Amino acid sequence: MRYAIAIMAINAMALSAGAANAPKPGANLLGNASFEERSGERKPGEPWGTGFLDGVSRSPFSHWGYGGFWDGGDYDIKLGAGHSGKLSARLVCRQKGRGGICSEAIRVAPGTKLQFKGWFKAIGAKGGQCSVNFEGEPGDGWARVDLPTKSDYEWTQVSGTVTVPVPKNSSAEAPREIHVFIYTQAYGELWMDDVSLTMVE
Amino acid sequence: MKTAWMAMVVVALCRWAIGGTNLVPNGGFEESRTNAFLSAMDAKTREFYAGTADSPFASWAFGGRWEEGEYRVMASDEAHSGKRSCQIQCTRRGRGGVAAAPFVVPCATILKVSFWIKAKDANGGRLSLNFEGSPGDGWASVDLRPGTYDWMPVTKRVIVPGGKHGGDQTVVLFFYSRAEGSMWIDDVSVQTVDANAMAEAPDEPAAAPKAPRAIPEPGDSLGYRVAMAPALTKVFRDDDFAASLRPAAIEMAAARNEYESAQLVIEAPWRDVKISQIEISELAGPAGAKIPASTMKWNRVDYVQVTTVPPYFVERGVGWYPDPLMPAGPFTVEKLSRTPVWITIKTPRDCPAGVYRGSVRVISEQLKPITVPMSVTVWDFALADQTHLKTLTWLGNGVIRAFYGNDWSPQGEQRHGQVIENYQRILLEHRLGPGGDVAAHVPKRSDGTYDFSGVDRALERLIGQGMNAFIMGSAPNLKRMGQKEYSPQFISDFTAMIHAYHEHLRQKGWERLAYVYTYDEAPRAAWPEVKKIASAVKQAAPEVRILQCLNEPEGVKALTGWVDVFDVYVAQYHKAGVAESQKKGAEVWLAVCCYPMDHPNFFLEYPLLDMRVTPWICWKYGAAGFEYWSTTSWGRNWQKEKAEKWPSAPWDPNTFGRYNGDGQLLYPGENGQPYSSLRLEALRDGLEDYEYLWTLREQVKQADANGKTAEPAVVHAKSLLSLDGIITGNGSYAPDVEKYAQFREKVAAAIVGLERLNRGK
Repeated sequence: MRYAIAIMAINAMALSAGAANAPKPGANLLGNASFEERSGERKPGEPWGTGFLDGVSRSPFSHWGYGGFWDGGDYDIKLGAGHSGKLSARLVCRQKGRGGICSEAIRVAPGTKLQFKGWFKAIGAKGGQCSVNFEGEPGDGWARVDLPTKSDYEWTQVSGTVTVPVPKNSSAEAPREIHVFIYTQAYGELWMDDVSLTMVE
Repeated sequence: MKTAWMAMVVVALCRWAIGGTNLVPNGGFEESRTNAFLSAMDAKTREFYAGTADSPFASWAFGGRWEEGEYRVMASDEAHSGKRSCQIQCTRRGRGGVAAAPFVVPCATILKVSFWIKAKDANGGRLSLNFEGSPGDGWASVDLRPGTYDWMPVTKRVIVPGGKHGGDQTVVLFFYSRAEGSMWIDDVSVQTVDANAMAEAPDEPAAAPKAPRAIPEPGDSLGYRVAMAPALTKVFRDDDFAASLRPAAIEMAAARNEYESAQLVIEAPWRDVKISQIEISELAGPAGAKIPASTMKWNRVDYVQVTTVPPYFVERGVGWYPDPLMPAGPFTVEKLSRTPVWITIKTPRDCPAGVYRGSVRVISEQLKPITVPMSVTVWDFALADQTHLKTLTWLGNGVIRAFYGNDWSPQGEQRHGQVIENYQRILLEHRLGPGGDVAAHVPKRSDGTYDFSGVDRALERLIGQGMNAFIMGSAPNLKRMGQKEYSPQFISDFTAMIHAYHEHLRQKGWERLAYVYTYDEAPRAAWPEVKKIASAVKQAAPEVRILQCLNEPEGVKALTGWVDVFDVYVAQYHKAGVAESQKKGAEVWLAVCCYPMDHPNFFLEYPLLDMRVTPWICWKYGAAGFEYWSTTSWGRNWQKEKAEKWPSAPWDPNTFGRYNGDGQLLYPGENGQPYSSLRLEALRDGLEDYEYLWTLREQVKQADANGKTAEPAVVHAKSLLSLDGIITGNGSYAPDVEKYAQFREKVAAAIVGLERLNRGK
């Protein structure tokens, strides 16, 4: 219980710090967006496995969580050669279902327009859709950007613009916590690197 | 105090275990119990083991009497490694199992669970590994393979949930059997997985969809091949090709007035093959008798892709499954695949018995045709048009209307009415009655009388086509309406309508086909309301029969005497104590649905034997009817925003949740025409088998009446009617499809023999 309270306290501090430093247009809201930084040893205050991230584990990359076994699937998370820099993230299918990675919480005001960009490649990714899903307080999957449906492609940039929904029954101004999930429901491998999420003016 | 201290030691030993350490002590079941495992736990942990006692093994608990079951657990010398394994043996089907020692890990930990399992005659229920403990009962589970098989490994990775507050979690693994027979477990291991280590481990080959391997083309090849498959076989397009094939020949046998099918499989191991036509000749029979080609037809078997991993055990996993029957027309068999052609004959009701011969000619656009001989043996009796097992399903008007885009304008209404008639007709051609929603609503006029003209027209047509049961009114599921009780106004209106409607049906002579449907899937808390509405209906119309569908089988006992017909799931027949209610005069119908998931069931991935055998089980257990909740629950395939619809767009077989093909026995064909499915065909074959048994029983009754009870043929017929040796339980039956064909042939011969005996020949 003490452990849980400590996590909550650290989370609260992180959130209040985030609120004080409101994101600026053009700034990348995703941490470790090039997957160069490893997660290393477990640190107190990591959000994985709690609240909205229940069922998500820590990943080998800092600022990113990992879920490999949704919908009966079994996916590894692996290191790949980078689109830029040294590293990228790879989701590798062991059994088809759904696997993915997710960002830490990002606080944005409802109505904010966000642009997502990222580089992806696929090897043998047949039999299911790969996508970028926007989740969190506004709801599961309040927006989605589909990745190419081809099973094999080289590094390809994908982009999409989404708007954080305005809640019906609560303060329209209060910032919302959102998460970016990158999912594969396919066989084979999905690679990702150099992702960004920026506010659109 | 001492026990609490011991528990702390156990937990501490397992706490925050590092990768490589087995978190489950005595995973190999080599150690016998030497002390009280359960009593050493603190009260909070003990709660996770409710219903269990100590087992013969150290660090394992056992529970053998859940869900009316009776299971034994014992050390078996049939070990995968070491000297012993854990055997869980069924004495009476229900649920039994073993639970491992608890271990504590932080939430978000990745666990890798591996073990070895084997089974013998583990049929009639599911085997599973359930993850329990502080994150909740069943926070993850794995359905395990039923049946009989030797040791096989199972591996499952999971992430420990933390819920709202996170922190450390106590995890308990339960292995359950709900089946008959035995299962053995050995070498259970649970290890934590570090994501960083996973990321750096060498790559293993990534999973890929199955595809047939290329085979060399022989010198005398026609460029493609034709094989035969029985109607109960699912032909998968991605299975490997046989090195060579025997010459194909279609052989069928049927009574008169019966549908019978076979599959011709066109294989393309070397190139795309364009098929322009399949020609079926007329059949020549005894003494110049003919069966015209017009009694036969063919359909192309299409495949749908399962991408949702279901919660039930599936031998083949996700991938392409054969199911829809597409209309006859040119098609291409792509290189390295195969396409089955479904050939159906409806034997004429007046053709002489005997063997009829003809052929099927496969005509390719670019290659030489292949001709396959075909023979049909017609037995010397006819099936009745009427189906003696009552059948009932719902069509879902709204879904069908939405799929075809028919609005509420007069023209849209007219088109929709025609489409619905097409759907009703195909169901009745398969002996499955669409009576759920055809006559359940009667408009009330302003003068307080009822307008029966609409339902009269529908019932006239549908009863003429063979419908043998329908719902005349439904008291709704209150929970779904956000209500707790039936209001006095509703009861008054409903019972007045039922009273008037029953009188009307009596005048028409249809009252024995009608049922009042009360509170769909009524939960325990709603049983007082079921009693209330049932009592009011009986007061208004004492002869009306009330049909009650139940998810909770205990309701059968609680509601006996209140309703007339219990509609229970095949898997819950014994659990519901249905036999006792049958003895008291209750009529019983059997049903399948996504819950429970046991065999038989109608999921897309399940064997066709499941659909075929369901009417046999109805016979065995004296069920008067069979109900299936839907044939057109098309999930996401009908949504308005879809620019393209099936068959132009791929079919998504996911109905809801993780269930595939549930409630989808029909596919929405073009121009308002429904397409059948392999599963619906298999169900019809099963319903026709039921007619064989009914016909034989009628012959037995006549023989008994004629004082021929002791005749060997009559004794033999009675033994056949018991289905002994083929249907051994409500969920267990012979797995070999050949047995059913052989048994059906025996029943046919018995019918012919008794018919002659009864005629004095």
